[in-house]
Amino acid sequence: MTRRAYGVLLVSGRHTHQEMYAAAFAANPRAHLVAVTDEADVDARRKALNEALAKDFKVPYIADLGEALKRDDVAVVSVCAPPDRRGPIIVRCARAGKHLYLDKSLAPRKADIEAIVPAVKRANVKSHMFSFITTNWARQGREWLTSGAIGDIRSIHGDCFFAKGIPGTADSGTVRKEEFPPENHQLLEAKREFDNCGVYPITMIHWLTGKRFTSVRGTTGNYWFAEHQKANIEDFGMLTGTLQGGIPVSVSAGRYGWLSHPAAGVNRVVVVGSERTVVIDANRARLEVFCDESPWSPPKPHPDDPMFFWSTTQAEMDVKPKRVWSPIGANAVSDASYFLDCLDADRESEMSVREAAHATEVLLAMYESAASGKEVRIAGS
Amino acid sequence: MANEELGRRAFLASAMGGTLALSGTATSEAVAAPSPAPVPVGAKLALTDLETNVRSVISSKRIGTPVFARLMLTSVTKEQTVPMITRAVGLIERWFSQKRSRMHSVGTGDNVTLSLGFPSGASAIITIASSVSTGSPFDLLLLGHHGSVLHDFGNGLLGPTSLVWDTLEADPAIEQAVREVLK
Repeated sequence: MTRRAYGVLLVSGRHTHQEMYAAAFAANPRAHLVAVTDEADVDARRKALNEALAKDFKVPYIADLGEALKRDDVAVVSVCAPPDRRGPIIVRCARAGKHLYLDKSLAPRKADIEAIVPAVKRANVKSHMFSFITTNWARQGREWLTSGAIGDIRSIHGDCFFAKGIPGTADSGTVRKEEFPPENHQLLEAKREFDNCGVYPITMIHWLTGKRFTSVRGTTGNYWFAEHQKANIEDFGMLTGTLQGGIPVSVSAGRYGWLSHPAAGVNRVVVVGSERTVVIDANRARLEVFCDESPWSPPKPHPDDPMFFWSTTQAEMDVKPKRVWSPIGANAVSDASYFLDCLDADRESEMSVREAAHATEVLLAMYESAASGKEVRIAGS
Repeated sequence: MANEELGRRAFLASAMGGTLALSGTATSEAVAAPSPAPVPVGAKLALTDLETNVRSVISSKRIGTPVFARLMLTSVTKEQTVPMITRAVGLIERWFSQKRSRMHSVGTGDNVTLSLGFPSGASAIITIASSVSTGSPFDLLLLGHHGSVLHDFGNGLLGPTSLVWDTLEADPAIEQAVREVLK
């Protein structure tokens, strides 16, 4: 089969996950990077970060998204604009007839997803949001679930915690009061961590079961970081609720500190079946390596990225990988490669904007519940 | 039972992971800290011992003040659901040194998940399940301001169940030597 080379346009540059996505597309023989772009009125800092990524990958920076979208050599747009700007940009790219590779979570507002989903459908383009469903451990887990080995799913529970940051700085005497709708999704020093981390188990549970969330009761906290507390955004969140068919579900997620885990953090889904209970775990199977090298120690905070959200800031501070746990098994195919497979085969992604929008509905329901203290039903489920 | 057999079982239990994994910011030696006494293979773990084991970690202040707990208990019958949940809530309240301020549940019968909130803002999730888990019958994730305690179910489904060996190239010289030595 002859492979087509997909031209990829990058929206937003350094200090976004575009650093990672651009590298994945650049490494794939089916794709080539065309340019970095953004909205014409971005501030000077964002413009400089965009230009820096263009320089990293030796592609031009096109300062006006509208001009970049006119290019015929762009087949795919990878959108990593900060969450507050994402919705309208995704709609513009869809209307321009470009396939969409999208950062998580899809967009933070209900109005965003109400515009994105129909725009993508009308434009008849393919879309895919980054998640963990394309990892080997997730695919293997779903194979087991569909094999019938665990019986009927009785309940399902997901956890995702990022082991980064220096914890213990939050004022533990202050109880968090959540706001709805949530604001300030991504700042220089802090992100809304339930959105940032919780989107992974939420999408995983939806994908594994094929069922939508129907009700949610949520809580958020400021357990670890003064940065989050000062910005009035959570570093922890949890929900309990139900899936279609009344199946109990729970999710906990957040950012809990560099040394709170031997690797990148707890990242798993526990499925309670009628026959047995199983764990689908990013950290298993693994090798555990013990030796006389110096113990891993956390880096000093980067002034422009104290929580180390981004790859380039980690590189600038020479952050070493934790090496006690080492995965075993075949190397994973990148999430970007999965999307190119979808384009090659002219098939929809299993994490299209439709599924991604449901994750946003669940996230918003969690924040609404955390603010009100009441259970929130999810419409349409 | 002979002492030798008891020792073998204790060794096997230790090798199989009858310990709490502890991670935290106190020192990088935290993961190598002394573990609670190994649980003999096939023996039951008393919740009173689990309470003591975890409390000793909390008392050491290595993980800081507990802020979140997720406790999952499997192999629970319908008749055991209420007494088991009662004990689980009590465990967490004692670990958190405070009474819950709210509690909600989803699910029915022997398949229940509860969310708990505490006056300090701490929170917890308890899950009761009737089916057996692939490893341990309980799973605990306890997060503190400075670190965490983890005892997971075990390997789950993703541990290898068989080996594919013939994709690895065989050195003919070694093979010949093996054939010779096996003659």
